[in-house]
Amino acid sequence: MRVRGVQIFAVAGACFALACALPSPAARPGRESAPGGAGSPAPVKATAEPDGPALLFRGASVMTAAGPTLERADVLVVGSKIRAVGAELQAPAGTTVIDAAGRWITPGLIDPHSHLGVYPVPSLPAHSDGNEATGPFKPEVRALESFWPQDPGIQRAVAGGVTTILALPGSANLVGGQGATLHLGRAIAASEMQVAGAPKTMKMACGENPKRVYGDRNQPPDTRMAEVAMLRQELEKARAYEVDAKKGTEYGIAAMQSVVRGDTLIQNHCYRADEMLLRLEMFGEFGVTPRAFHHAVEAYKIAPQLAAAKVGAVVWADWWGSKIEMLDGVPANAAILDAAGVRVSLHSDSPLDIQRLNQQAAASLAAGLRAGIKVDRERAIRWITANPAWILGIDARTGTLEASKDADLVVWSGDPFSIYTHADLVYSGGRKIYDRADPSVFPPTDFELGTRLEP
Amino acid sequence: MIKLLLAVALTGATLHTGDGKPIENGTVIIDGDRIGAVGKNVQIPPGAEVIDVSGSIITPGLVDANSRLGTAEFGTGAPSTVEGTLDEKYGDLRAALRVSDTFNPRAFAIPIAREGGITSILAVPRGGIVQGQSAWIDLSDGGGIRRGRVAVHVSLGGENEAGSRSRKFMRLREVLEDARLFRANRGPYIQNRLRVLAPSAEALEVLARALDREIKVVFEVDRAPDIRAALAIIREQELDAVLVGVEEGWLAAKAIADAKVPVLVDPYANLPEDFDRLQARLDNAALLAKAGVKVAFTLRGESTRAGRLRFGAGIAVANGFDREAALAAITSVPSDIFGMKDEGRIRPGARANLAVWNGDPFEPMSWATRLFIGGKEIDLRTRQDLLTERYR
Repeated sequence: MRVRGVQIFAVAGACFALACALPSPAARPGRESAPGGAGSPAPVKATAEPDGPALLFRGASVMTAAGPTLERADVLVVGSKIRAVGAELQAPAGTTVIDAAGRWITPGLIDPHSHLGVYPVPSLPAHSDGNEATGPFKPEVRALESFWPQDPGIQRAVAGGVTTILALPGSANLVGGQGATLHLGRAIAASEMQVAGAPKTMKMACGENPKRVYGDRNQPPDTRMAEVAMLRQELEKARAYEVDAKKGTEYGIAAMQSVVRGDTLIQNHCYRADEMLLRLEMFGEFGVTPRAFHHAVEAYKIAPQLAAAKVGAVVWADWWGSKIEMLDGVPANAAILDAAGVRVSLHSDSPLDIQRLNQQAAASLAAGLRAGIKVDRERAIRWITANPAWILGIDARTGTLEASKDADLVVWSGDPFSIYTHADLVYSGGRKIYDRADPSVFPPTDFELGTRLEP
Repeated sequence: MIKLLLAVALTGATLHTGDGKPIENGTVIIDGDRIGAVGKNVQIPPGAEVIDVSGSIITPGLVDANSRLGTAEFGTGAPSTVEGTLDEKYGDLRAALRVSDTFNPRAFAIPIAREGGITSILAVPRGGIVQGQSAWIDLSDGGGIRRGRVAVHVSLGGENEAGSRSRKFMRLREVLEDARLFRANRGPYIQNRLRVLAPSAEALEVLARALDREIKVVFEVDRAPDIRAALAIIREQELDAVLVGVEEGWLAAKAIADAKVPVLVDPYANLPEDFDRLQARLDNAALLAKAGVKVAFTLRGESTRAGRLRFGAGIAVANGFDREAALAAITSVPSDIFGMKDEGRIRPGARANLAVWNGDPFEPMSWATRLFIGGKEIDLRTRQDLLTERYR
């Protein structure tokens, strides 16, 4: 955890909600021309063609995230899509065969809560672009327009098997801005990384961070009750909003109107059970439901309510207690939620932990087993693949290894739940984006080019 | 009470001793607060309580020798739970500060760390340039401080609340010279006949002890050139030193090895987190060990997630560090570095700090099933477990 460049405690590099709530002293307004919330930028991800070259991964243990683990199974990829998963698949002529015997294949991992690119490394005031903490409502700002594609953390996340993230603004604000659903990979501009057809998302926050950031300046909100009251008023304003021809579109209110209409997914940073229930009630007044509560360390206390409301929970394996609202975090959180039927996902919130989502799934599974909860590996793999895909609203195209899904997959050197296992190969849309044996596939970012030394 | 007097025999496990080869199907005798016999064919003392832990792995209790357990919890929203961080009121020369004065043995995070197999820590100060004196802590209930003034800690490196890199090195040199003058002129100092010395009298005593090599000096330093500069000061002042952090250590591995200065490194660290750590890499520990440096692992100030230490050891193994050496790096090596030579190993006469695991302790799918500190079995049920039972 870093606060203004001074490490207090916790694993170095962790950029969890507290740190990310702090505005940089050097924060500046975004580009004035940025029309947050308007239009739909053209996705330009360079994927392979639907009927392009074929790849056959032969003889792996395949965790599809959609059923039992398949032993000695094959995965056939044609162009950007998965064509088939099963035993002894026939390969079309010209197929490149990749021997995966003894190795494991999973879907590409998905992190539904990352600050890569917006709080990149090196973590410097010059790079601190995650919180537009100049007012508690900033629905018009977009993480896409802060995202630095040269963040050296991206390459390391891919080396950990991550293919897709939701890059989010920080939690200083009640409404922090729009998230960016991105394919990880090399790019000049973040817009090249966007996942085509991904729904819009809006980052919101409750609890300690907004009231501290603004309360410390003697501005509202200074209390939790003001946080709810102010957001309620903002939603009401958005519901009644009509474009005034003379003023032109007010992009912030328009973006909030999209939230009230249910067209933008609410991704709500929230720790405590009581606050999550209050939020559900308050959003209910407007007929909307958040897509997911993020961090959600107390979600296990309200698992049946979350399941009934069909709200996702984005949680950690072992984060708790770094601030008071995190006091009641438990490592069995994910397992309890899964057993109760909640769409539960793990997340990193950190450029270190994003490299080890698979190990986080293993630790969460072990915590569930230790507590005697009925969970298994096939459920646990969904916490870092299928379920975050749903939370991002992209589950129709990615998150499982099934025919017609995007060919986002990882070939692991062994059991992905082992600490000793490495991602050997990572594919995104049928394109190889990482090869542990060939650094040229994902070479150093421009930042590290020519400065990175080797033994 | 009677039970405490009887020996306990843990039987049928694979013993990873922390400083030697594994023993299959071994027995460990716990005799009071010490380890009795260890081995394959051990005579179980009459009346001993026999605990069959067949199929388990037993290791020494784990040690993090750069920990904030008991001195840092809950962050800015609960400032009374965090000791000595950003508070500039202390000044930057805090040699007189003793963590043993403020360590909280009832910190919420301690039982959770024990669940991760941690039985001892070096509780370190934080903040300023000369940060204060660390304490070696036994994490059992009612355990607490085993040794109160283990090392004096110095933090160097780039700009932070203690000023620039240049200022830190300058101040360190100044105070060490002050301490040298003080050490040679205690009488004149008391009579007020010396020039003005920057540190307080108490701080000067501590630094004089460091110059006498009676107390270790731990340097927190990451950038390779800073490591070399710290080594120069260590050499000039003839300090008994340890380095912590050392994320660019692999670039100065030979110099560190030649200086015979041990290091504490974080096996997770692989990000160019700032300009002091542009060359951080996962095989740093392996490269240092290969060059002959004595390496221990730390999570470097972790508190709430201290139980990750064992995964850190696994990460080091996955990146080229020897497996048994990795266990030593979280048991016997940190104990030895700080002179606690009766800890961190399964050996007759050693302190009975033992963790029993249901699988490879470095694996996230395994967990500790039993834990002994100073021969006493610890109840591994945490507040988190109670919350889980209440709400599941």
